[in-house]
Amino acid sequence: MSDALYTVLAADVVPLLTALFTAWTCGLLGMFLVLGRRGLLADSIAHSVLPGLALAFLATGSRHPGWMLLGGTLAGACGALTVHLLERYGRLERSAAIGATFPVFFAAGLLLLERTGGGGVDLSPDCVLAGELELLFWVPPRELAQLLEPATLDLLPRPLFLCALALLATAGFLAALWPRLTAATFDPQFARTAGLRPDWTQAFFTALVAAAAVAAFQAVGSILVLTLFLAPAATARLLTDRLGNLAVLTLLIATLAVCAGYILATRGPALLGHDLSLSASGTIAATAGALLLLAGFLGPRRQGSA
Amino acid sequence: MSAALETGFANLGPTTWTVLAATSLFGAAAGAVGSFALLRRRALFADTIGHATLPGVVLAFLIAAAVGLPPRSPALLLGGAALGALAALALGLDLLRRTRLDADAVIGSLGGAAFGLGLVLLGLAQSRGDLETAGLDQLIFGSAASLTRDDAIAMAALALLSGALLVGFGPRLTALAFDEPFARTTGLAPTRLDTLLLALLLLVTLSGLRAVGMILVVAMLVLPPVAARLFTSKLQPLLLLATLFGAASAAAGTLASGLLERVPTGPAIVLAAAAPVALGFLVSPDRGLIAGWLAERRLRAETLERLNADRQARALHPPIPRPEARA
Amino acid sequence: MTANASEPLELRGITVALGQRTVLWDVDLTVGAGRMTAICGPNGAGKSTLLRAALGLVPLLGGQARFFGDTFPSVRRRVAYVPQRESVDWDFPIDALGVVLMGRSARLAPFRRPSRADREAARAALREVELDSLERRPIGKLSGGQQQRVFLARALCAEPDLLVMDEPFAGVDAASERAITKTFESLKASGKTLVVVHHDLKTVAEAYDDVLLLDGRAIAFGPAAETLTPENLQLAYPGPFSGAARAAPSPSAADR
Repeated sequence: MSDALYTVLAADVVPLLTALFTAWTCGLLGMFLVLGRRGLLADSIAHSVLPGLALAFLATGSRHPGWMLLGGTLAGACGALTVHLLERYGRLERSAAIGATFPVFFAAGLLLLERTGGGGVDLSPDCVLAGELELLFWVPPRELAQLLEPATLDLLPRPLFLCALALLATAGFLAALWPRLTAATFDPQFARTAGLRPDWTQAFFTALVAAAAVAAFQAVGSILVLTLFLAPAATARLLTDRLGNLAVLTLLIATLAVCAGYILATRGPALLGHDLSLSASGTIAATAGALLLLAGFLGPRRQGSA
Repeated sequence: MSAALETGFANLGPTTWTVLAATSLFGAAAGAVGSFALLRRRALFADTIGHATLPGVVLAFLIAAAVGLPPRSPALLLGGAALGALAALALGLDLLRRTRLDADAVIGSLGGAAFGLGLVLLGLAQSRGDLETAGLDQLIFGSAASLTRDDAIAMAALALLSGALLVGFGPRLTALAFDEPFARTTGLAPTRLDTLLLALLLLVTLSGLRAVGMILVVAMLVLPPVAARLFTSKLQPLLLLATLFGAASAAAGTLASGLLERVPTGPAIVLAAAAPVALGFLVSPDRGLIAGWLAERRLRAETLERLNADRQARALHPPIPRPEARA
Repeated sequence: MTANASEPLELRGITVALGQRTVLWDVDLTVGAGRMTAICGPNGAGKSTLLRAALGLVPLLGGQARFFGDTFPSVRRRVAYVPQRESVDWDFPIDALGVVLMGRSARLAPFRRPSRADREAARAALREVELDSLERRPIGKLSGGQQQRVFLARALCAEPDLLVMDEPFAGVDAASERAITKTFESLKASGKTLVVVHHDLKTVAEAYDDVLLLDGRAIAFGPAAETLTPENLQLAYPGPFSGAARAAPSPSAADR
């Protein structure tokens, strides 16, 4: 194997795959958030995950992905539930309910992290902000033939598996319940009378959003994940009026944002003669935002029909 | 604990009291301005504003360093923050106007994207490796402990400015928030007033940047008004309560952070601001969980009682005969 | 038809509160098989709420609803509901055929896509409401009346025995009104039962078998000719010119 290929395998493949899996998962779920016009629900969930991660670490003393997933998903679901209760019983407008929930959960998470001293790099305020894509390196084998041996694959960083798992779960959920999710998003009243159980579908969907936010935490942190949820789907929404196309375009745009952002971060400065690399999650989020603006000015389906 | 508190209080220097006054002023301004933002449904724009200050700040820093200006001066950084936020707001509002997307999608996408850009620029700035960059990331989570007297004075000035504007335009904003069509007929310009409201949000955000940080600053614009809303529906008491809650929670959070070890200011202030919301949500006579549950039970019992009485009365004195339905 | 247990829809003592306000008070209604029943009343009379309460979309404070002598969940396949047009986001990226196919999706097991037979049924339903030429058009690009017809087709596509509709003629163009009326007639001819919230009193008498006059309470119910008497109408619509002063338990005055 050539040295160049080895370097790419060691330094780039795992971060890139992790980012891609995350962006695909978030994009697919975000599509239904954008369609349901409740994109900021992802905001409250993604921020609410943080205290769950910190508490799971406090309670178990380990950073095993299983515990992180459990704690984070439960906390994310709590955040969504708080928004719902404030809206329903406090009769608050939805954006106020969301604004009154996520900063509080987030602040609690930050305080817990500070009090417990974090628990290492992968649960620090820096990771909260931007993830730790750069820390996901791999020691690949010297020979291509050994690439798929269990021993080598065992050396792959854990976050990659978590993100792959989240992607699989999301794909499975959508494959199983696509008609139900569509009906529940488009016309919940009809869905209820037709026996499609929209409440259960939505609850399951919300749990998946929380799980995706946990998986994405290590890749892009708690803040940039919101852009991964919303920007590719919103961009795609400005390009098509067909649901199937929307899914395909969302995935394509997510891929484009991740690849372009990653290359920009790792290779961009060198092209300009600087010896440094930028925050890859930052460039990915910024690229996704730039694509949305571009579609906002040029997209063929910018205007709504309703 | 009390011994720790005593030494804590002993350690509070004169700067601390200045800082305390400044954060309280910020909290009060945030509560008042946030009330109007809540009524006008603009509260979450503060989230975009907060996130989008990062690229502005860092860019201002980089440019100043490149042309040889003092890169850490508060005025310069605040100016950069304002420009960054304005750019994001302008893009976001334009996107909202020209496309089918709703505010949720635009706010979420652009806030995160702008913040991502800021992190990239921050990485660039930090790669210079000089001491000047050390404090930049404190703007993200906020740190009252590192505030100087100058910072505190700048903060207080911004809060006071937004307060003064609010006093001047309060009545018009009120008219707009409660009845836009009517406000239009009386010659108010909604677009201009909405712009003013966004400018006020920006001023308050800038004022709280150093203490609470750009991510949590939105909380101070939402939590105090929401808490006040749970207790009252009238505008004057709402404004008063929100201002009070804002100032008190900012002061409490700042004090807690100064007195206790390892309690960052931003989260402490936000958690203090969440307390009246939690309390109001439980016990508010109008919108509280407990009151709501009791009212539901009472309504059910009363209705069923009236229903039975009604049916008995009808059985005794049949009303106009109903045509039978069967065909 | 021996026992009323088998009636398509039977409401007994329906009482509903929305928030802190009682909007429906002890309403009874029996809809016979194969009959067309209109629910009429002033704005805010609780017409839509009555349907939604019967279908379990709004919690009941008292009373019960039976469909074909059973609870709604156990016979929901025989019932189709057409909600008001305002209840959905018309900017959703779906075409007319996609919406109609939703009528079949309740029968799909997880991981299943609509089959060729499902698509055929959906196309047939669109033909029934004379929209087969527009099946690929995004739902938001259709006119209000066409959207209403798509909703009707979605209900037809589920092949129900009882059709429950909320204001199908509100804001509908003349062509759509004709198409919907024609569909109603053919449904009635094939023995289906229809319950329709209707706002136009002029057309009710000729088109429907029974009328429920509603204003918070059931004011009158029965064959249209017997129900729509001046006295009953004055009770339901105490307009400023009717001269009928009344202690109204109902929440709103008539504006029609």
